[in-house]
Amino acid sequence: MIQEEFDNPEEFHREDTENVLPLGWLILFIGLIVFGIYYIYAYTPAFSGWSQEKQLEEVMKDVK
Amino acid sequence: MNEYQYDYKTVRGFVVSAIFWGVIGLVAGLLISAQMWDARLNFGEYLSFGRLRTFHTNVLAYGLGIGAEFGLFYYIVIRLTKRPLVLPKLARFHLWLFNVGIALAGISLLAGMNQSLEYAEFEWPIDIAIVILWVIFAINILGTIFTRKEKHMYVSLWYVIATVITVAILYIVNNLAIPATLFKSYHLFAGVNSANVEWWYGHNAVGFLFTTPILAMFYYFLPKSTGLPIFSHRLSIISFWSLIFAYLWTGAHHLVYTPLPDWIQTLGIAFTLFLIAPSWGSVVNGYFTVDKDWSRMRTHYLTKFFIIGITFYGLQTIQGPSQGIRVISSLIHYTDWVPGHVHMGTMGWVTMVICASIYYMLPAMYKTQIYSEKIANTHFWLVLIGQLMMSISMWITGIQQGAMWKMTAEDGSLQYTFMESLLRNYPYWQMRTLAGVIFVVGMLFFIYNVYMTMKKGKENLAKLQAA
Repeated sequence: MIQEEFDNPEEFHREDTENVLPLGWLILFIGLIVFGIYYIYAYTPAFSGWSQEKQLEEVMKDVK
Repeated sequence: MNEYQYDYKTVRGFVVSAIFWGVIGLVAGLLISAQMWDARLNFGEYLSFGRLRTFHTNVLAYGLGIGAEFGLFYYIVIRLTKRPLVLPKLARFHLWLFNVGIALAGISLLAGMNQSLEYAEFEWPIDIAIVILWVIFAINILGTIFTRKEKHMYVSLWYVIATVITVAILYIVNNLAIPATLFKSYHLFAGVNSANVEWWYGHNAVGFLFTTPILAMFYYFLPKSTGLPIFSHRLSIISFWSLIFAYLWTGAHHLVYTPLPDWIQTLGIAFTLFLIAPSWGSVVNGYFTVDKDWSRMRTHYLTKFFIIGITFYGLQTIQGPSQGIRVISSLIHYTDWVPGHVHMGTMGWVTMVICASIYYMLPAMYKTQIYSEKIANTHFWLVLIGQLMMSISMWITGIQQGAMWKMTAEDGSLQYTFMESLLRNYPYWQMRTLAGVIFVVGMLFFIYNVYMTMKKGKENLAKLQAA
């Protein structure tokens, strides 16, 4: 008869670094949230007045 | 030790089925890549580019991709819950229905039945079959997880659950349609709404068919095959929840500079850029895991599959969000850059990790060793070279196309005609076919290795049972 071997939880968990969040990654994580809030403010017509139609008008002015 | 035996027959059935559909989808891919530069290779309406392109995408996504995911999920779930599937017979029926379904779905596309929604081309009778198929899968997977014997929920299980639930929601909502005849229906949503729902679905299909399931495999098979435990459990869980939270908002980045309201586009872009963080959470976790012993990249053949795979995931998740930014989207959208991006993901990340998982899983099920590490290494290098050639040639020609389309002459008229930009594609399209051939040869090495390992494994099991 073949014996089945189970997965041992220790194969997946490294105790010394189990709860580590690398600092560089954390800065990226928080930075992108902050940038996202700014970006939504800057490119939403109701907040900043920006719109793709206005942007097109600007570009067309330069062409002429 | 335990009193029962895992039933791996269904798992193996899915692996073999996935490989079968993979071969068909890859051959179709080679043919359409050649049709791009030689129109004589269109053989009648059934094998014309328009039909074969959707056939290629769907057979590889649903046949190879999902087929392998079904098998590997059944394996991962029973291992991590430490119990058999709740309904093993239903899983066998699932396998049978899956193969009949893909065959019918593929034929329907070649016959020209098409909803004209990207990644959701199947007409409504096939959609209903797919929903039934998915419910069967969900009952078995979720039922097994709910009645698990191991209390701890490893991160792979979270990714499995997210895949099962989200795909169901996405698929049902986007495929809501009003049938006109047996083979023709109309999308329930119209105009901009239809486009918005379609890309909410389309982008998340990529997310929940090509990202979350592959991460479930990555987190399970990387530690299992290398013997190195995952660097940080917390990082893996935070990455999971933030990925799931952000993904569903991002579809609008496919509709930049369209009639879709500006605020929806902006919201989509902001969430898309944020996705870099959770994606790179998994990338960093993978790197730090192997950081404990980088020599395994040389000494252990599967380590490089997983690390190169997660590296392409990392590149993909930088490139993808960049493409969402308005100024970049306006240059590369609608060009060959986009298939270049998709192929880096599917060939460099998805297929790489699926193949590596199968390489680990098969010998583990048969309690034997892989047939040949040398063949696996040849497979690795060929698919890597093929994929890089394909992605890079498409990026170059995509930028060239975008630049030519936008270039204006002194008087403000367009500098180039569409045909002029098209002709410049030809050398790159030929290069892509060559890249495809190299990739497919690599996959043939994989298939041979799988076949020989299974043959060897069967003999081994028979010997063990007799003993």
